[in-house]
Amino acid sequence: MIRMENVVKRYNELIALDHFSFAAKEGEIIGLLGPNGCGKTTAINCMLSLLTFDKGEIEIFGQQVHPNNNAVKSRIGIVPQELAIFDKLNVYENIDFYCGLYVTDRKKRKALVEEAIEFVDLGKYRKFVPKKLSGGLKRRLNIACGIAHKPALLFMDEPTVAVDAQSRNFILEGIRKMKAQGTTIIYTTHYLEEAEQLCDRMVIMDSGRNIASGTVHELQNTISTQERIEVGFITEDQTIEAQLEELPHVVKVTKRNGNYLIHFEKQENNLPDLIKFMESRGMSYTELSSERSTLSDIFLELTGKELRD
Amino acid sequence: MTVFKSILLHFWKYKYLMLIFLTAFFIFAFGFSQNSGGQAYESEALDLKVIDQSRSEISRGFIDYLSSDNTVEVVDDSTDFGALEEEIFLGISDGIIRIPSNLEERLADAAPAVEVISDQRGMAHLQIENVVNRYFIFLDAEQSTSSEVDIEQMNALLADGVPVELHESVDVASQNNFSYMSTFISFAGYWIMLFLLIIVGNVMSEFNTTELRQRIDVSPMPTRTLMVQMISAQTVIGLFVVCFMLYGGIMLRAGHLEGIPLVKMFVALVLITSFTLSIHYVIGALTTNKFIINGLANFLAIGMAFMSGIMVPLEIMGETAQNIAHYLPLYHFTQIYAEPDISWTDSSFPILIVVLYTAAFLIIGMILENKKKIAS
Amino acid sequence: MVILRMIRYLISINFKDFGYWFWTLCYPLLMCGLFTMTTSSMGGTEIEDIEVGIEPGHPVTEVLGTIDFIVLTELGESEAVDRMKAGEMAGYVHGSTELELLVTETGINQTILQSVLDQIRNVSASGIPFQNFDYDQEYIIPNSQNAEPETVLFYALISMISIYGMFSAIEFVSTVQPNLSLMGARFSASPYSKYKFLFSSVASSLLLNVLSNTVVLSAIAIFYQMSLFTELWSTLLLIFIANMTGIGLGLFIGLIPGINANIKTTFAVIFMITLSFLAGLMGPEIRTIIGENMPWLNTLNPLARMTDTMYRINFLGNYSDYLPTIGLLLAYALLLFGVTLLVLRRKQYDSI
Repeated sequence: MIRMENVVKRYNELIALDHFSFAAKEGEIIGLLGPNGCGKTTAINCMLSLLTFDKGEIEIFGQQVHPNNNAVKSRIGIVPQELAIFDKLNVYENIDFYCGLYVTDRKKRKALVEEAIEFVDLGKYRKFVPKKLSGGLKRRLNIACGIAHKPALLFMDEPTVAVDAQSRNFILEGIRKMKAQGTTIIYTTHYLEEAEQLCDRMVIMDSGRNIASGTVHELQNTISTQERIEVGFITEDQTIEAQLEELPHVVKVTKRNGNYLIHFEKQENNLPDLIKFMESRGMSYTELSSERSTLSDIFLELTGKELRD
Repeated sequence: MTVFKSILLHFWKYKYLMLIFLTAFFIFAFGFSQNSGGQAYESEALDLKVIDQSRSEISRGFIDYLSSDNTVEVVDDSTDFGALEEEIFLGISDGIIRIPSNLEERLADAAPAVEVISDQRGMAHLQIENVVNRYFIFLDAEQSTSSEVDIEQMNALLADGVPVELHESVDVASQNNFSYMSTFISFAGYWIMLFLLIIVGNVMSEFNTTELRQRIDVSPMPTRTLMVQMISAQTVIGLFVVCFMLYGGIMLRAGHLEGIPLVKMFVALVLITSFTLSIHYVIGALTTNKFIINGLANFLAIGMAFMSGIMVPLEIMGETAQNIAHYLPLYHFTQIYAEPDISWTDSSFPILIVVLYTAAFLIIGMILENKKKIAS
Repeated sequence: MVILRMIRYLISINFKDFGYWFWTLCYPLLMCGLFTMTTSSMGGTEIEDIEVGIEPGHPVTEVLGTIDFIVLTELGESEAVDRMKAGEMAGYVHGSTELELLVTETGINQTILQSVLDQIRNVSASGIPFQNFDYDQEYIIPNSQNAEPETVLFYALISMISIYGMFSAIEFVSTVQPNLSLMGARFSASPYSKYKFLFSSVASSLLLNVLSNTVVLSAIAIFYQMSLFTELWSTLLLIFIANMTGIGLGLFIGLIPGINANIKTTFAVIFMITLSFLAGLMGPEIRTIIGENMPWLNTLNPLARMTDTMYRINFLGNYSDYLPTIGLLLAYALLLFGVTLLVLRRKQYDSI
């Protein structure tokens, strides 16, 4: 559905997209991940043909993107990061205005607007102007304006930034529903839990480059740290850390909440090996838990930076 | 100094607009400086257009006679008559005199000799009648006395007028200098008002947006420090404009500064700047809507300028307008330098009025500002 | 239908802005009130008698006394000077051997008085018998053309409000450009045609401004009892075309890259005031000075052209420049629309 090949975008000296490539299939939710300023929004703006780019190719629905390619544009929806709504128009009018840019048939549009209002649960507020809505409700309106015309491809640029937990869950639930209806969604965020929960595949960006992509599982396999095991011991012994480091395949040992966190290399039997090792050394433990590496670990290993900078 | 610097930085963003504003002012001011009067008494010359269809000795003599004291332009028959009438309509020209081709026959038949087109409601019309009648009365009188009339000789006789003396207490040169400079300062006052209300209004509307103000309000900076810095930054801009304009005026009229109360003019400009900033303070406390700011700025500046006699002389306005004018600060601004030799005692009253107006607006602004703070 | 809906929304966005109405309705109405108040007695100037002082027992007292527009007072020189300085007296006639006039200022009254005294002097110097002067003879075929320079103020104001559409046009163009507003990004990513949008912007600005113009013109006619439009329909057509020019200007200013809508509006205000100023909004003298020194400026300034044409057709019955003015205003409008379309078409941005 989307093919972006070696796209380069420069702002004078700054390279915003550096030979950036990625592809999305129909019905997928693709997460574009990366810290602020890594080029996520620039990539979206290039796909939307709002921005010129210096090199590369972008195809959407099998067609080259172009400002005048209305056939492509009519199947795209956009939920920008900042609120793009009219202060002077009420909730219904705002959604109707944006939906009207895509859908000319009055009856059909009316039904779509009603559906969008229901979708974001703003029925009670349909006559409210944005000024009277809370931050979370404004975000929902912003989303409704982008999805009312039922696009086949939806770009959502950090739609949950500065949203309370309740509204965030509501939004995420909505996105799942849209996916179920067959919408392809390009979702940018720097909330990793969101991406892990929502996205089928992820593209990790840093300094305008695609540094890794795939499902969470695939990404986990790309890094050296595979598994972490947390162990709590009955007695505190100065030598425990040194002993644990003797175990094969251990990358490092750190402390967390008074417990020891052992980082292992990619390996099948880390947990049984550890249990055997502790028994052989007579180390009595009170708790033991294993966790897979997270996106945060993946990002840290790939870029050397924390994602939420 | 953070707020002070940041406001000045905001103004810097408007540098090109400020430059356009000041350039436009000096273009107009230069235009005014071109028509300054002479050194002694001069009669008021009429601006006349003459269409001579007769082309006779009498008509030529008539034109020569008219030209001796007036600005006469002889236009030919083909000239667009509508355009000439338009000049009267606009007050550019005082009248049109059409000399018919059968002038001599008309004079012989004692029929009206020339056509005069002018605004019959004005004093200029009376003067045109006087001047025209004088020539033909003499011509007829000469003709009835001697059969041969020497037009040249008659014109020489008519040119011999009574001596007009300007009273010794009147210094025409100083009066002209003063009259130019006082127009310049009045115009500068109006321009400063418009400039400050529009530019400061827009700069401060950015600065006063709710989000920004809330941030400043929650910062540890005391309100008084904030106000002092805001007012100081605006005052710096105001003073810069005042000095620029006054210095520009002095440069334009270098060598013609005798008899001008320059210090009082400077004081007047500083006061009108303070007054404008106080009005702006009230507007700023009321709204950040750019349309309202621009509309109010325009209305206040133009309104005050009109009502204070800067645009149209007060004497020719209706009585109501004149009465209202006395209650307006811009009128008192012009009174600070109303006479070339005005004393500080005479200037003190209008100065006091403008200061009181400024204080009143500042107080209103503070009340509104406090109300806004409490409401938010 | 699509366009009508867009027009409805665009109107609605501006309609709900109090500031917009203040600027387009309240401000012109306030200005009209101001002009009416300040200029009410300008047009109706009447010939007033001239106060003249004369030395007691002066030989010309009798002759001067016969002139109907001269009011003569016998008094001493110092008192006369005081009254002249107070503006109560035009001049003082004195001189025992020779007729002399003493004044403290220059003006039309002094000039008329001087002219009368010149005539008395010429009569006695000519040696022509007094009975040969026929003062009852009519030498003048009178014809009147009223001077009404103050009407220029009103026409300049009407010209100015005719181009107010520029403000809504600036807002609309800023709204549709992704590098200027967030809505612009959404808009540009949609398949909605730029041509349709431009047409809708023009139509909604036009409707809004024509509506506010109608209110202002009606108020001028009803409340201020002014008869500025003897040629109503021709004037309305002119105003309508000027509305298009104003909108074109707004679209053009709205396209200026790199500055936000606020600065653009400020720029537009200053630009418009300058044009109005040159056209005579602040007094007809400026217009005259420009006409004499830089006539090309008046020719190119759409507001000056419009102001001139309005008083010409309504007061002077002169239609000679009506069509050229309409042509110029239309040409401006078309040129500016063309440029706007060209710039907006296929527009992509280097940075947003």
